[in-house]
Amino acid sequence: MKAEYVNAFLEPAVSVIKKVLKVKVTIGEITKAVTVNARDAFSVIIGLSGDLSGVVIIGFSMKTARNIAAKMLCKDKLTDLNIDAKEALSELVNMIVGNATGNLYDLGLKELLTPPTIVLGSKVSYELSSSDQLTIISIKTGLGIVDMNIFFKDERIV
Amino acid sequence: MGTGKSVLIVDDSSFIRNSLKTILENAEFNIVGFAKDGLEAVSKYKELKPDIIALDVIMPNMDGIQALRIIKSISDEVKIVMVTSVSAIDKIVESKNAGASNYIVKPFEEEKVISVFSRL
Repeated sequence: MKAEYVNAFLEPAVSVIKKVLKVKVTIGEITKAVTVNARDAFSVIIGLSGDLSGVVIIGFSMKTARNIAAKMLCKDKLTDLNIDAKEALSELVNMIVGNATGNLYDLGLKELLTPPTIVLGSKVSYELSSSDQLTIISIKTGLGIVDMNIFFKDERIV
Repeated sequence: MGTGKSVLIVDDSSFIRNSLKTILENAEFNIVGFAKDGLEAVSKYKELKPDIIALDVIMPNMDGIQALRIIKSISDEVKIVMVTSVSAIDKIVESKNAGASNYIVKPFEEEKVISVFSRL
């Protein structure tokens, strides 16, 4: 996967998290993988179709999910992820991926996005039907680690 | 600011619906209803006839740009502001060409929302 495509997602991930959560953000490991990191108990999936097709899966541990949702909902603490918390997290991911479409467009790539889908539970396996590699970016925030899994293939390459 | 202008808020996320409601009510807009997708937006528009619609783009069932075209074909009077995370310039141009009055990219600042809506 081209570095500029990865950057198209990385830049809004950092800027949206900083702007919405008002926390310090640093980029951790960026790794290539063949399967999605399944350690996360709460994930949000957004599909892309267009010049690039695939998915972006952003995952959180349950503790990080509660921390982030609490901040977004202006609560001191959340003991459980209620519907408002899930929708807040889902919207955070939507903002990251939506903002990435602007960067992709600037690279000459037109994309359509699906509405976000929430996946609960860490015992989930994802079958990715392409030889392209998955890129996993670990984003360290003051509220916990956010894993961004980016997987797509370039439909313009025959 | 809002001087009581009526607003329909359309977004599939309750987080955004609630955020916009709080911001706009504090600025003296009158929130008359909510919709969660484009189909519901068209139906609520016909029922409520708001002055302004805050309209998301990526939604299930019918997206915001399709809803924008249908609503503007019913009445050209209504002012529609796209409020979306999609920052690609082609979507902004497409929305403008379909009749949107303005385009706000999420995450938004409260001041930006008030400024855009107050000018309508």
